[in-house]
Amino acid sequence: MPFEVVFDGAKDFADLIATASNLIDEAAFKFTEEGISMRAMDPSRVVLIDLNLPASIFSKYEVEEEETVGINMDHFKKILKRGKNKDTLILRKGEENFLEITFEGTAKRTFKLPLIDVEALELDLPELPFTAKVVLIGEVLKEAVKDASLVSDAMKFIARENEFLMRAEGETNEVEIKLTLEDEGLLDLEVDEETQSAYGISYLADMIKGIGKADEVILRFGNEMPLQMEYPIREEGRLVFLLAPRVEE
Amino acid sequence: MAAVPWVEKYRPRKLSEIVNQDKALEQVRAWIEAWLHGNPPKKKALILAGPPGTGKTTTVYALANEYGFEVIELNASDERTYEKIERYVQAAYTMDILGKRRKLIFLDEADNIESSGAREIAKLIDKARNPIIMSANHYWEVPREIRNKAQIVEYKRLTQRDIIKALVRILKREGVEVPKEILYEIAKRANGDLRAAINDLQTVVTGGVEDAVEVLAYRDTEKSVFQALAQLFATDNARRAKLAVLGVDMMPNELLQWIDENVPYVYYKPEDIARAYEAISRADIYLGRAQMTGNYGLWKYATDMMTAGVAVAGVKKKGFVKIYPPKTIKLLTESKEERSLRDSVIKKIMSEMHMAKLEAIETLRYLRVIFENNPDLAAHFVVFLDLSEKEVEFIAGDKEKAIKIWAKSMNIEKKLKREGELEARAREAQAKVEEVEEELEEGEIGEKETTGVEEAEEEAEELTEEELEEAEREVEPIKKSEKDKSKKGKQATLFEFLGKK
Repeated sequence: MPFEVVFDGAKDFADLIATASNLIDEAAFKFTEEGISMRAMDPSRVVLIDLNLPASIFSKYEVEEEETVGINMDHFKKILKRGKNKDTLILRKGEENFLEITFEGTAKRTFKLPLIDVEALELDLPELPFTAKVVLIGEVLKEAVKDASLVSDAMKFIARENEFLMRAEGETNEVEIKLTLEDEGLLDLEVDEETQSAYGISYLADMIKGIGKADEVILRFGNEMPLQMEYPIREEGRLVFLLAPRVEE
Repeated sequence: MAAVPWVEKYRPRKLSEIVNQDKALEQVRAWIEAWLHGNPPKKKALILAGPPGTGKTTTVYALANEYGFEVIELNASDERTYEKIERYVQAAYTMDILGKRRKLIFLDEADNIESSGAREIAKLIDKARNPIIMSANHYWEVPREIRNKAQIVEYKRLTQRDIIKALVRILKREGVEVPKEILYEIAKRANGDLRAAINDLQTVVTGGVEDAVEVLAYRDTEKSVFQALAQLFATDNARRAKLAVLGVDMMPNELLQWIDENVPYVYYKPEDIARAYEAISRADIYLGRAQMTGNYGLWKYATDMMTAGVAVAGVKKKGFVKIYPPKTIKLLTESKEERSLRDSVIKKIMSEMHMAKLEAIETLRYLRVIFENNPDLAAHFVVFLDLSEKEVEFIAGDKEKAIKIWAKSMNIEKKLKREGELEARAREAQAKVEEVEEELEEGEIGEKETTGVEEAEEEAEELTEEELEEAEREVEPIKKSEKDKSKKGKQATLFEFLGKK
């Protein structure tokens, strides 16, 4: 049952967990031979998080037997925050019910985090009939969400044949962020039909916290359908969010 | 009345009497027996770690009693320098050779040991020929060097049930009875600290059950003030009296009230009481001057007068002294409910009638007249301001009137609710009309139905289903929120989409 995995760049890993921990309190991480995965829903059942870290992105990956560990995300996040950018992160579990988190840098610092019982979410990612796919850079999305949060608590994503709009309307103010393929921020746009859907800004804000400014983010959505937001981690891993829409009545 | 603190009087003499720490005690026993059988355990020191009042100190003394040790205690107030501890350890060692009773060294509050001396103490543990037991509330604050040399024994926080059981046992032996509610209250407030609970129990029993609730009410926040005053009134030494109030989190003027309240219970000769009040009045003058001139350096003299000045005033009662909270505070607490009612009514007036606070206070006076004389009109105000039953009673100033007004307001509320339902029905009808209209572009049916709902149509247009549900409860506030809600839409959950493939 013991395992040991090593990840170079403790800070990247910390960002990853920090992003997820905004939405969920505890999570079940599954360690298998192929890699580490975690799937959880936030308590309001509005966001689903799906994390996939293949063994190849770790500099050392030793998992003999499949094992699921339950972790308090808040504690995990706080511990990981102590890691420096150039530190190497080691996650280790022995026979005892502890996760050992070691930062190797100028010194070797090891935390012991007791594991908790968490029920893993037994749920397949639904295959949703998305009608729009938008690829943009993290910075654009981060700024757009900040812009929109000034005027409202929801923002609308609109994808047309040659443009992608993010729009928020408040009591008095409005904001519109417009992207065409000529803009640097928009990398790809595939639209089957004009698609519109609105999403809560507070959720979006939590989802984008860990995205790097230069990261590629893939958005998929449909008319009044959930938004699937995906971004790669060290190229081979990925973090996927599924966010339920705000629906008009 | 001289009284032994019950905490001492009923301190268990045997390990088996200690409340609900069986697991910890088992470890302690095993450890001490290893010492007695001539092969000292690998770790020669023991750290008893756990929240206050769970039996750590009691364990040490019960252990010594059962196994025939003499306890050498070094507590936090002693200077715990390396030399001193070493001396104790050495002394214990030599006396051991002289064949007297074996010594057990007890270091209380090991989490307060300065880290500078930690390494030396760790060395002493290595050399020790006698068992060393330490206690700590926070295990992790014990210096690491010491932690490494010691075996930890964890004491768990006691449950309310444990505490109640222990209190009942004491009451039985004292032959006193205390109402169950008060026992529960004590247990609840003690927060797992049996020592605090027993002290409270003694306070309540000696002070009379009547004002138990009031005394207990101060326990959480004013724990240190009770202790400080008990110390202050237990000494004739000026320096000690001054030290007693050190660290009490209280402004001098408030502390003055506490001391002022308790002087007559502590001194019994009139002239002593007079001398004490003389000191208090002098302190009060300093406080006033400090306030007036802004020269708060004068507080120092005020504090000296009220502590040292009072402490040396004469001959005090001996033994357990019950400390009373000042009556002024009590009076304010009692009127607190009324004040908070007044505040909440005024707040409602301010927001519903768009008034400044002063205006609202004046309006409250008019409302009083209306509530006293015109219940019908008053009922409308109740609905409009959304007052609670208690608030109505506060304004009307009379229970019967309040009930009458309340009943009337309920009727108005019901009427409004009916109107709300009407709106809901109107909307349903409207929806039907739209369907029909779609099918038949023109037709009498459509018109006929529309006339039926015309009046409510205007409002129903913008209402969403969710809001209609709310409308049944409250009609007034909805109209305001209507607009922005329909714009933002409703947050869906993922479950609504998981089925779709």
